[in-house]
Amino acid sequence: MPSRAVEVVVKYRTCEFTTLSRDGSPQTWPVGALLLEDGRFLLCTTIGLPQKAFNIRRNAKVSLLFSEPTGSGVTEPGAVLIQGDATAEDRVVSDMMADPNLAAFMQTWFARQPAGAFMSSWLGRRLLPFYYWRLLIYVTPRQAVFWPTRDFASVPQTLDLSELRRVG
Amino acid sequence: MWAEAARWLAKFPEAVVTAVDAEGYPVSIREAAPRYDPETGQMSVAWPDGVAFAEGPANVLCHSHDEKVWNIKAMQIKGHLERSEGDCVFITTAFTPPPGMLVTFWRLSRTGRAAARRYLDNRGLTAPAVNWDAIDELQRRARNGQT
Repeated sequence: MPSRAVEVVVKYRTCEFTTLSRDGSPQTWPVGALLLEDGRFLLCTTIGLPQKAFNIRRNAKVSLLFSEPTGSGVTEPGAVLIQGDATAEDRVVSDMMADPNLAAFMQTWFARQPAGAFMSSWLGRRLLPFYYWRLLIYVTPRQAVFWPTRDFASVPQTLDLSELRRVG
Repeated sequence: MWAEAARWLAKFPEAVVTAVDAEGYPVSIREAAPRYDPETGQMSVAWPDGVAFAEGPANVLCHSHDEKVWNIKAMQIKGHLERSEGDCVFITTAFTPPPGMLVTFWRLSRTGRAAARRYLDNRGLTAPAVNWDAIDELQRRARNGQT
């Protein structure tokens, strides 16, 4: 039975992912992320929007805030902030089944965003031919906190990272 | 001066405020019912105890999606986060209104294509062939609820 904090990171559809730009300012995007069995997170980005990867290659420090419960089915929504170190592979992946974790990520994303099938439609392939040229991003959590009620003004609980490794 | 940012911010019930902590890691919280001053571009932030941040560069992100992760809306304000008389204040330095959905898509088609080409050219790579059969299969599994 996963903890409520783990339920948040597994079920929330998006999280706010932050990398650091060249001048040190944070850049934040809403993205999907998949918790892996070893406690890391997998994200990916297209080489048509490579800024996240470029930032990570200069500075590995990132954060993930899981705070948007819409569509998750979580009845008592909380929030989880994870800070960690990321790697962004240089390899361009165009076979979404080439890596089991990526396949799991994409299948989960397709289930959660059915209208995203447009991207692989006849028109989508022509308008955005780069959409499935992907870079894989792995985040290793270093510390995490949990707000049980989404009351962000309250002091959050420290989250034991071993909880993330137990589930995946 | 920041009326346009205020107008856009008012479309969202919450805002994600992100700064950087003393160890150099980004750190984010959500601000419920953000109170943003359109004259000064300042927004007081109820930053929680137990989550450290360092005064410096920051941003405010608002985004939303529906139950099926569609009808996505997003906007971002750049600025910095400061402590002022015991409070935490976000101060705007830049805001660009987000374009509409069609314009966003059109721009993505053009700029994304160019960025992808640069990425490949800089590495001496040719455009990789996408395995569309794999995508079809993963979409089929997703529709059938397979995990």
